[in-house]
Amino acid sequence: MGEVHVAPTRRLKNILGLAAILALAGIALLPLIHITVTVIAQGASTIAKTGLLEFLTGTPHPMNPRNPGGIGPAIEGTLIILALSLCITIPIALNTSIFIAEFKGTPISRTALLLSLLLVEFPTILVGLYIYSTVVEPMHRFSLLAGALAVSIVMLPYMVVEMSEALKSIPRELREAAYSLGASRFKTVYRILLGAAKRGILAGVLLGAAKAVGETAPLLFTLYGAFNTYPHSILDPGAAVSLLIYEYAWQPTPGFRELAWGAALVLMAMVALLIAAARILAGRRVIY
Amino acid sequence: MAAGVIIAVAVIAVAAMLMPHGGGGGGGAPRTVILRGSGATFPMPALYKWIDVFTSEHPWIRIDYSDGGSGKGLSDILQHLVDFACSDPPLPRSIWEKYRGELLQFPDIAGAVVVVYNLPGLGNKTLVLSGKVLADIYLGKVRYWDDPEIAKLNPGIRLPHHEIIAVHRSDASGTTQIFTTFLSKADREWAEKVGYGKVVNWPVDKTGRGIGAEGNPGVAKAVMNTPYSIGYVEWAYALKNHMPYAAILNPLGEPVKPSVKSILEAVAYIKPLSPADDWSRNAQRAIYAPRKGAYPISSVSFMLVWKKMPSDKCKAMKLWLRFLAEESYKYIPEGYAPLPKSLREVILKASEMLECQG
Repeated sequence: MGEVHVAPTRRLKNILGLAAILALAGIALLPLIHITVTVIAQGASTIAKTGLLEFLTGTPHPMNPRNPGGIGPAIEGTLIILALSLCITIPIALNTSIFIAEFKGTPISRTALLLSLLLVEFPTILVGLYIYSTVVEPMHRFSLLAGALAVSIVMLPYMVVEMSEALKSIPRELREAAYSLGASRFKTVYRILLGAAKRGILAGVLLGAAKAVGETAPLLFTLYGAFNTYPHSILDPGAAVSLLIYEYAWQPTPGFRELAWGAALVLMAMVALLIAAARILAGRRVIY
Repeated sequence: MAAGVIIAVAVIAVAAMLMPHGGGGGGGAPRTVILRGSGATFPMPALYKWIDVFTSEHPWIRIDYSDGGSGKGLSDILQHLVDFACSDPPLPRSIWEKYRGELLQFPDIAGAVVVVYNLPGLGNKTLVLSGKVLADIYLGKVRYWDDPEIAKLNPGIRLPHHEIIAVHRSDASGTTQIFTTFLSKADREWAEKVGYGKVVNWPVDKTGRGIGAEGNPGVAKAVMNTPYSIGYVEWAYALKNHMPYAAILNPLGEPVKPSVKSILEAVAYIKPLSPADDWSRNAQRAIYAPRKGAYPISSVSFMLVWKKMPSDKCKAMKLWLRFLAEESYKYIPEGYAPLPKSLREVILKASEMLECQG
């Protein structure tokens, strides 16, 4: 017959190799799975105790053993910081990355990229201290605005690097085609190139949003931790889900830790939701 | 695509605005006043309990508390960023002098640092230790559990011939300050060689038998996971983890275990000064207090407020301090102790000293 004969040792080696790769992949994934499962299990038991609506909108009562309450003000704070910091960073990041990609090779462009890469490595706690001395102290108040500014500085370089890479990866032919049809440079960049790079740019926005939601250190000196009261303006001191986890997780009383676990689940869900929403918004053709 | 992002941001913003706002100040009720505090981690469980009770009695007042540590509390109140601050130590003398008469301070809750250990085979017997033995362990001089110094204090307990692993905090900590203050008061050699502070150089580390761990939870975990180890944590953390803790000899030579009563006994040795006075030396009187039945590693935590406050906040603050003085002692979480009446009157005094402006 036309069957290919494979030596049994080769077949064995193949199986062993495959098993080894699978096992290693499993080991790599194990911590992630463990974290996810733990957060879901612990968080869900807290939320089941208080009820979903109350957990999302109520205020914390960690000393009440039967019902530790909710983390409403922290969730609202995180949402406000997310919205504010995106409003601040998207225009800046978009135009900086267009500049870096469009004028690549010029000293200013190279410097801008270098500075962005440096800023990525910058300790985020120092960003918090910087905003503390330039915004919080002169205004005599902690505020959601100060928190959003600190978070913006942290997320900006990630967005710039990601977006400029996306713009650089667009084939030259596309630009040439646009010019040959008589499009101006402005039109070429803002209509054609941005449209072609939208997936990469959206990835940049997402990366920034995930930073905004997850960062704790820039908020330590800027936001305060108004876990019990809802803010009335962005100039009020606020709270954030990440900050709540940081402050509550160390306490000896179980109620605090239950709230922190529930908050961790909310944080995880928020990030997952952001990614899902972005995929839908990016268009039906997006596969990855 | 840009439109998509704008929609996303708008959705987030609207969602944030639609969140229900508690206490929006409706109808004829007085306008909602928010008091904000920051500072020490130690009093946080008690504060949350008090806030629950107090704000249900006065629904027009809301109170927030953020635990960034004693140091941050002090810095925040000096910058007028918060309305009250909590600090484990009272104001340092230099700062008290600078803001003399403007910044008020008073104790608000008492607690204890306990010595926890992991001694397999001890059963439910309680170990008795003294300041001198503890100093010698952390100095690296007492090396084995069956050292005659320990055996002398614990007749009837069979101690193992195992090396002692001494666990201490690796981060700057008020707990370390209280523990080392105790060692300095109880042992002259410790006072001369090491002294006290939020961070000290632990001589035992040089022998390879010292372990640093972060935070109370870190020390508790290290002791639980390391057989034949010893460490110090706030009482609440020992209770939470069901860890055994030692009875400690007080200056009268009595072995005393921490309890609400024995902590109260120690704390009552603190003089009830005025909230405008310097408490920096006075507060240490609770540590190694020469009183019958006093637990020697007891301490109080402090609250700081400005004497002059804007009138709406001031009224709320007066009520809050009055509550702390007259009712807070009824709501004390496990692992903490209320203040004796003499010190609670200091809080009442502070409430009366507040000057409302405007």
